[in-house]
Amino acid sequence: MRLTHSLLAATIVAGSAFLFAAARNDDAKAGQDQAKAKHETDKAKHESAKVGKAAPEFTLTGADGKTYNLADYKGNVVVLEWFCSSCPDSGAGSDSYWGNGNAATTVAAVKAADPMAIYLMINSTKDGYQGKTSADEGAISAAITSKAGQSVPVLIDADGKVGKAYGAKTTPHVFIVDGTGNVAYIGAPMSADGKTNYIVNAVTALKAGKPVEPSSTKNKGCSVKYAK
Amino acid sequence: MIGPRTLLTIVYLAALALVVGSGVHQSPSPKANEPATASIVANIERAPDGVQYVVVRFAIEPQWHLYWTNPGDSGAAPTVNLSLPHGWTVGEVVFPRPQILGTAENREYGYERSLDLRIQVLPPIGALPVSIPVTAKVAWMVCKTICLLGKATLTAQLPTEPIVQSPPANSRVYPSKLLPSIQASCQGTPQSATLVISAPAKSFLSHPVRFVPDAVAGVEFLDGSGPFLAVQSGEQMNLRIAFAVESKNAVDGPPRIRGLLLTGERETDPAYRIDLAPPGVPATVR
Repeated sequence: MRLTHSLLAATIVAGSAFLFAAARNDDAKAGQDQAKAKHETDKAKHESAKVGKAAPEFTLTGADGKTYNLADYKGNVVVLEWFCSSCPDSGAGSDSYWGNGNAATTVAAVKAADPMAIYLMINSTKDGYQGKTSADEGAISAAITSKAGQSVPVLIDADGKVGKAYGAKTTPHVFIVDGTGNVAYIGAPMSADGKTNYIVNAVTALKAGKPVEPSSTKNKGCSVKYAK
Repeated sequence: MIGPRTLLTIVYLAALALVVGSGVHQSPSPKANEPATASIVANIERAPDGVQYVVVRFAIEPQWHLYWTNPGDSGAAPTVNLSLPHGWTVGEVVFPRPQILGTAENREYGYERSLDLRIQVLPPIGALPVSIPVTAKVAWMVCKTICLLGKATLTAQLPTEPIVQSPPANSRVYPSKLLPSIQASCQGTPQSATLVISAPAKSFLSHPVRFVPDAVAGVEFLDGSGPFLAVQSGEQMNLRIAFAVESKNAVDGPPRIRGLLLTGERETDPAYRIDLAPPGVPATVR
């Protein structure tokens, strides 16, 4: 009987020790997971454009074969719109930003508000996505804008470096750079109900020398299909 | 002559057909080119707290997903515009506990397989007709490696007598009020604030405990899209999450600090609502 009790006690003690070690392990793992997640978040934050800070410089080739340098537009307001031809919020279909006419109206209104403003589309879709080369994607994108009646340069960022430097997450995702080279607006092109055009408002405010309000809104749309 | 075994099979199949057919008002199955379909559930439901809901149900093809009210880094939440007869009041749309999808680089919150959106409704005072016409204009984005937009105008004639629905055991939970043992507060200044959540570890039956932020115009969580993991220190679980409030970006009205405290990994594990005023505004917890 005494031996049985001793064995039972030993089993309980050993089991408790095992459970305690497992719990400590779980806590340690939870801490490691959190640290890893924070590191990845910090990395992403570091790479993202911020309102009020200098916009990341870039040099990209357009679907038209020309070279586009952000630095060449110092002094101009620059609208950067992330785009993908197969995203139903961006370029695909009649309900998309470019398919429903909103984008063309916006581009026209931007030119009206500030004739010196530059409007560029950036396509960070990886080469080979849905069987299309980045050249195909560029050509399709340019055709979509042309069909909408407002041809806008489409810059090819197949390796995604510029998209990641800006922190572009969706198509569409808009970044507006003011004449000093600082980011003045980040977010959606317009409100969900379509009543407020954030791009036109920002360009108009910058032209008038007024603060951009809002300077940040929640973007929505398809995830940018970055290369790994 | 039909044998007893055959008869029993027929009776069983007939009973099965009745059970399956009674619960949902014409819930279509998704097809290859329609990865998500929507329908109005056949009855107004009454929750234990007495609140009544019209339920819009989505069926979702495998590997596709819909989105939570904060979709995360990408995506778009479904929208529902409900029309009811004069005198009825339509309240907020309540989303169930979301799944955590995607990766740390592209975090998404959403739903696979199915989604029931509850829309709060309040009948007028006085006698009600036996049933009312209900129209729901629904729009959504459903994604896999590609995304598709969907929309539908749904109609139904719903009995005005609500039913108390007992959800199946494996159905998703809806967020509930914060437990009294969980302390949540906002500290600091609008430009540099912290959401502090603290509770005895024993308050939570399931782990991990994570906070997923809602998307509120004018509020930016400075450490990304989440989820933010609570860490146990001794007997306490603690979370500290940095955020900033920019009133000029609050395009939808006065900003609130909102989100869910998710416990455990399962869709049936408890989730608690957090809804606080930012620093400088009197605190009201809902």
